[in-house]
Amino acid sequence: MKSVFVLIVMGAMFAVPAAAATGDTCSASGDLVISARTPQVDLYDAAGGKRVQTMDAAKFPACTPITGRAPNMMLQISVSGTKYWVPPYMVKYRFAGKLPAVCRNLAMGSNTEKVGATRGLGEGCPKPGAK
Amino acid sequence: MRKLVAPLSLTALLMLSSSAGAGLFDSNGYPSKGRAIDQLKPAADYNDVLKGRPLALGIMRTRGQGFVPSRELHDYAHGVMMRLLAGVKLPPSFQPDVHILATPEFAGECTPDGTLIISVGLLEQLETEDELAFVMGHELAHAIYRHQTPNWAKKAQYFAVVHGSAADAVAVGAQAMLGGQAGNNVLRGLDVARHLAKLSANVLMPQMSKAQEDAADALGFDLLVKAGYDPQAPLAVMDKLAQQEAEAAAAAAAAKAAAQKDKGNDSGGGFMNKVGGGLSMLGTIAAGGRPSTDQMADIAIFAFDSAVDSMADDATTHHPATERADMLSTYYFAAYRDNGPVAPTPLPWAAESKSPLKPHLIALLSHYTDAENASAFVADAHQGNAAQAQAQLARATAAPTSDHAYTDFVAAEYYDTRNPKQSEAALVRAAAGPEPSWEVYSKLTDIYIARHDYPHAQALMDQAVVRFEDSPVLLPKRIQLYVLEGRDGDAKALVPKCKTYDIDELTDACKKTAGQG
Repeated sequence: MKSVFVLIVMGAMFAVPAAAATGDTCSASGDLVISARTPQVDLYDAAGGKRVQTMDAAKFPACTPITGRAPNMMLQISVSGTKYWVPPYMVKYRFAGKLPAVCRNLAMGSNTEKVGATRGLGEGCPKPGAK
Repeated sequence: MRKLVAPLSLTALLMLSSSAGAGLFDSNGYPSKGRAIDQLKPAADYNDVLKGRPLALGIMRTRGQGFVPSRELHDYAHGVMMRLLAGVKLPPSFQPDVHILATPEFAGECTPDGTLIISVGLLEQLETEDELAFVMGHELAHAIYRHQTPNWAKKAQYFAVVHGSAADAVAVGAQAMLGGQAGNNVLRGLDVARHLAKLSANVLMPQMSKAQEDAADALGFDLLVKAGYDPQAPLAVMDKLAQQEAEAAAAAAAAKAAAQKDKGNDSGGGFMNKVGGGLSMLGTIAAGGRPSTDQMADIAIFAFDSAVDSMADDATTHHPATERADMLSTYYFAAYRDNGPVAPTPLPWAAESKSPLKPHLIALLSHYTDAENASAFVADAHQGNAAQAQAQLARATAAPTSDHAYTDFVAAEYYDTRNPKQSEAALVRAAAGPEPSWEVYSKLTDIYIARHDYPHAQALMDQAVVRFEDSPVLLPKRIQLYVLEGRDGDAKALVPKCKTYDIDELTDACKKTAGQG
C-alpha cells in the first residue's frame, strides 16, 4: 500500500466480469424456460399453491414458453397441455425484455462501478458530452 | 462511486474455515451438507470490532454525499435487519446497525463493526422487501463471520484518499465542460478519471474472497428463509446483477476498443511514461491543483493498459451473478426444497404497501431520484433540459430533503455557473443539515477561500475534522488553508501526520501543499 505502482501491479487482478454461459440453445424468441436447473423440477398448481408433480430434469421439456409470471417470481408454463407453475430456482429461464438502463449521475461520479456484492449502473449510458 | 473487491486470497480462505468451522464448508463457501445457519459458530465477543465503529462511520461519511439523514428510512431498514436476526443466537456484543449511503449506485456492503451500508440506488431498484432482505442478510453474514480483514480501516482510508482524488478529477472535468472549455482532451480526461476511479475502487478497497462471498450468500439465504421472506428473492437480485454485468462487459469491450484506438494515435512515451502521467495527475489533484487536460488524457492509457488489458476473471471477488444464482439454486434444492411458495413483502414505498411510512419514504426517495436525474443533466446536457432540471431540483431541495447533502450538492453543481449565490446557498443549507458530506464541506471551503474568507473556511474545516474522525482525506485541504492563512507552522506540523498513513500520494500532496515538495 505504498504507492500507485502497487495499484498497477494489483490492477492485473481487476476484471470486468464476463456474462456466464447460460446454456441457452433455444432458437425460439420470447420469454422462455430454457431447461431444468436442478436435478428435479417441481410443478405447482398455482403460484402460491401446492406441489402436484415432480419431473426429472432429463424429462423436463426444454425451450418452453413462459405464459405468466407471479409476484413471487413463480413461472407459468405448459407441460403436456396442462398449465403449471414452476419455482424459478429450479429452471434456467430467459426473458426477452430487458430492464431499461438507468442513466444517472456522472457529475456525481457515482454510477459506473461495481460495488461490494453488486455491480454499478450506467455502463451503457451516454458518456458526458457525447453527441 | 465507491468501493470494493478483493483478490482471491488464501488468507481469506483460512479465515473462513477458522471462523465458520473447518471441514464443514465446501471450497466455494457453501456448507458441504445441511444449512449454514445450523452450523453457525459466531464469535464469542464482537467488542473488538465494535470499538472501530466511529472510525468506520467517519470513513464511510467521506464517501460521496455520505449517509441519508432519515430516521424513517433507517428505522425501516433496521427493522428488516432485526427480522432477519430474530432467533439467531449471537453474543450481546454483536450490535449491527444500518446506514443508507446517498449514492445512485446499486450497492451493499458491511464495515467490520457490523454496520450494513445500503445505497439509495439499491433501494430504488429492488422490487420487494424480500430482495432487500437478501442483500442485508448477505452483508450481515459477513459481519457475523467477521470476514473483514484487520487492516480494513487502513485500506479504506487509502481508498478514500486516492479514490477521492479521482472523483475530484471528474468534478474538475465537469467544471471545464460547464465553463465552455470542453475539448476532446477534457472528454477523454473525464473518461480517464472515471476508469481510474473504477480501477482504484476495485483494487484498493478492502476485499473478500469468493469463498467468503459464497458463504455470505448461503447464510444470507438461511436468514431470509428463517425470517419468512420469499426464497425466490435472491434469484431476482441475481437477475438484476446479471444484467448489469452484461452491460458492464459490453461497456468494457467498447472502452477497450476506444483505448486501443487512442493508443494508435498516441505519439509515444511508453507505458511507464503513462504511469508517470497518471501519478503526476494524482499528485496535482491531491495537492488541490487542477490537472491539465493532457495529464488527464495520459492516464487513460495507464488505466487501460494496467487494468482492462490485464483482466483476470478468477481475481474478481464474486462469481458472475449467473453462477451465484446456480449455486443458490443448488443450495435451495438441497436444503429448502420442501418449503412452499411465499408471498413477497412489498417495500413500504410500493403501490400496494399499507405502511404508515409510505408517504414520507415516497417523498424522500422521489426527491433523490429527481436529484439523480438533474445530476445526469449536469453531466450531460443531452440527458434532459434546463427547465426540467430546475423543476427536479426545486422538488429535490424541498422537505423532507431540503438539507440533505446529496440533493443540495446536485443543486450546487447545477447552479455553479448559472447562479453562484444559489449554488452557495445550497451548500450552506447542506452544511447546516444533519449529515453534511465532505464534498459539501470541500466545495464550500473552496468558495470561502476564493473570496479570502479564511475564518469561515477554517470554521468549516474544524467541523469537518470532528465529523469525519480526523480523516486523512482532509489533510491536503487543511494544509492548504493554513498556508493561505499564513499559519505556516500549523501547515508544516500536519505533514508528519500525513506520513503516518503510509500513503505516498498523500504524503507527497501534503509536502507539496506545505511548500516542502
